[in-house]
Amino acid sequence: MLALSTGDPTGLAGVALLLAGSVFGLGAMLAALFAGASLTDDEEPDSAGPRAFGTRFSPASLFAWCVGAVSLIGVPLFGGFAARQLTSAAALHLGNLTVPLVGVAWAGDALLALALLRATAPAFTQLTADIGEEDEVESESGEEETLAEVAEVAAGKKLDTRDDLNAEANEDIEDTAEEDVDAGDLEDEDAEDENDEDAEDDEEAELKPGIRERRAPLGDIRALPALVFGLLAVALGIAPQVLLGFFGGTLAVGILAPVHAVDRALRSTQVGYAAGFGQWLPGIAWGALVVLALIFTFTRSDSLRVARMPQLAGDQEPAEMKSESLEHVEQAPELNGLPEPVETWQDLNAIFVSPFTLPAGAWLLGGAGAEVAEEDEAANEKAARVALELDEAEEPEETTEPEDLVEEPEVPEMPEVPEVPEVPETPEMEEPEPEEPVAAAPTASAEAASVASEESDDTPPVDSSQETSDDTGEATGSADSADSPDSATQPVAVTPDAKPTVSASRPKPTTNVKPTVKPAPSKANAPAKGGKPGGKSGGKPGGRSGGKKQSGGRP
Amino acid sequence: MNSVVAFLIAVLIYPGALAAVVAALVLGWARGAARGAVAGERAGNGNGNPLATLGEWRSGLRSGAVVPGVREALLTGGGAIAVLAPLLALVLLPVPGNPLVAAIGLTGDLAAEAALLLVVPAMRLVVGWAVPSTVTRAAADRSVRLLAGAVLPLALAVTVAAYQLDTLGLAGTPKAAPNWVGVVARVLAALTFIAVLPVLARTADRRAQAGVADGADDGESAGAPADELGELVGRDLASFRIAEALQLAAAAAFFVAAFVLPIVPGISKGVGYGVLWVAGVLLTAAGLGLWEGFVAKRPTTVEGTERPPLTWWLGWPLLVALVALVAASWAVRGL
Repeated sequence: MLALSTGDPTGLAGVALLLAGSVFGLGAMLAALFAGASLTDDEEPDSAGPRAFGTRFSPASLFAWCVGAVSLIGVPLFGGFAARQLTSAAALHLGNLTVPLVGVAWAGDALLALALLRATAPAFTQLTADIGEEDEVESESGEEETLAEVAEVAAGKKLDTRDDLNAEANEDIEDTAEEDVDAGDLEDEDAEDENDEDAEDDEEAELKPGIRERRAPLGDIRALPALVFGLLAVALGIAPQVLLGFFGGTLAVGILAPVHAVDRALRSTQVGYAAGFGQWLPGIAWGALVVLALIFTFTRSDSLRVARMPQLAGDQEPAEMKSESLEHVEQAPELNGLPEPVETWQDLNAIFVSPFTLPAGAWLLGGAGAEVAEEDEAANEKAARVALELDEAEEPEETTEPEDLVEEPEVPEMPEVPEVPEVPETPEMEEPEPEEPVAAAPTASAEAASVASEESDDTPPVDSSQETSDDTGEATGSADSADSPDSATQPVAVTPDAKPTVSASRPKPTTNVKPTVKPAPSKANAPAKGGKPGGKSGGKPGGRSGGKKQSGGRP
Repeated sequence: MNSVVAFLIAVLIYPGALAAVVAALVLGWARGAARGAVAGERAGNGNGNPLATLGEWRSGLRSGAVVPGVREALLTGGGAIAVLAPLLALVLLPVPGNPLVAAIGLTGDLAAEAALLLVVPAMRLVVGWAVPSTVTRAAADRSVRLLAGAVLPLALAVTVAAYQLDTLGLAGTPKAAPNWVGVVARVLAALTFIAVLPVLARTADRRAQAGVADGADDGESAGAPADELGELVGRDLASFRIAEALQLAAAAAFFVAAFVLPIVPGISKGVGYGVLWVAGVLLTAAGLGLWEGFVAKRPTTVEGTERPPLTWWLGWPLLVALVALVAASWAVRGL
């Protein structure tokens, strides 16, 4: 937009480069997502970059993803930078309002880069399963180096065979040995058992040859389009002048600018290009990078890489060690210990409500807020009416015994309900968990409803329905208790969409408001441990819970 | 001069690898000495003695220890990128005597230089997030807020510099004749970048790492927040130490080239130009050390260290940057 607004032929040449860079960069990212099984036609799994959690590490797709991302956001030396450089130079030359817009655009690219880094970094976390797969491969080539071997080294078994380990590494290993001597002993004791287990694993491998076949580079083949796009993006970053000259980039500019105007403004060279108000020599930069990388590689020691245990206090257990113990948690092991960016959104909330950064925001957006509130209010009234109708229909049934309900289920679409009448005796039905009322907040105010919607999305339907049951055994229905006789009275609670109806059907629906509103801010402001990045509780910038909390001394 | 020879000299000797390492050691010493003088730290306690620093790098690079739970490719590649980015920034900077200036007419690029200066903090964040430790991931989250708060003032300061020079090159001449409003704009842009310098040239917190290594629980080390590189050991940590030192040299040189020299446009050649360069980068490093010394000396509480640095969004660096932008516009278009 900046380039088109300036009308400068140099900026228009930047648009031609931007189109190519965006196609290559975005194509590489999308193809990498597909290769990493993160982009499907069904519900997409949680992932870090292109790698869906729990899947095999694919260096090719991750490389393509990274190259595409840096090309898309315009990191120097990659495809998108030349376009931004030409556009920025033209806009700065024009002056006026485009000058601060250029600065804001640069800052936006940098902030987007930070977000992409945070979203991609957990893909490099190594889990036990990954180590195991690599061990299989490395054991075939005789380069096995695992944590178990580290424990053996720490126990002093293999120090004499490691000539490359220097004194510092030995000190580290000795420190580790003091801490993990028990682990080393356990390794010794389990050595014989491991041999037996290896034999069993070999037998299993023979019984399941498909496992080996599945490890064929199918993922890498799928990543081939991503690699092609990524390499094109790299090529565009190395030689943007080729696209401008040989591939007709400057000719395309002639459609929007006077003919040969760009030829006068932009001069291509062998190592880059030079405009009247800017110069970019990616050939020099890439050449320097290659030379420096070679120097860096040859000057680095090739000593053996030996893993050592984490040393910081706190939750220092690696994810691979906790993955098994955290199987019951929905969070992926790769995200272990990665907090939700709740505080960041709280800080940003001040911007969204500040009259300085959002002049007349209350006046302009007040109507939108009122509309939302009216919609919520209408939905609540509708839910209340439906609840009253259901209550009226239930009144004669509430006096009947549960056995009667089992014999005469009112809802014909749930035939399996009468089959298990013992479910009301389960403790889950009698003792609802305290934090679960967050899920059902249909009668809360607009503020509470916005918070509750976040929480209810994260809350499984099972939990949300459990809270609707009361101590008297009048279960309002849930996914777990759908086969109970009580659930037959209100089968609408089986689906999440029916939550408002269920909650509003209670005799005192307003009692749900307080537990819904109060836990939300405390939960949002607590340093959530192990939350999903970009999770819904921390993902709404305009959430009012953070704004309320910000009255604690921050500007 | 032959362009190939000039390229090799620029990359390998000056201002490339060799000169950059020497400059990094000297500037690190100046920074450490200033910090130690203000904070009252003991000599040799991480105060940047060049020989001690060099020995620390060498011993670290020989170590093959690696933290588990992270792909080795990330640690190796991240460290390499962190080292190469400030080196590349120095090579592409038209410092006095850069052979590329005479050979191919190198003018540098403000946007590329600023972006390359963001690589080292970004790689620190990547490593901190990738290591499966709650401590490093929380530290990375704190650091990214710090960096995000510095990005906008940095971008606006660079915008002011480019707007006044009417080019993204660093060897340009001001668009309008120097007047007092233009000088004010340049000074304000320089002040903005000074506020960003501690974020760009941040080093690993030695207090925290020393406390962790010694197992000490004294007040000094206990009050220091953990660093996102706290789990790194061996050559990976040494690579980031080298990258931090080179980053200081690159950031100081960029500051002098983009913000100090335009304030005194009369000096563009000769001995005075070189002296101004050397004095500028030395004073920048020393000033950074002074600031760190004052910060270290200031009593900090746990609450203070956990203060969200993203409040910089509404802080004075952004305000100064906006004023500089307005002043630059006035200077170019006239009051």
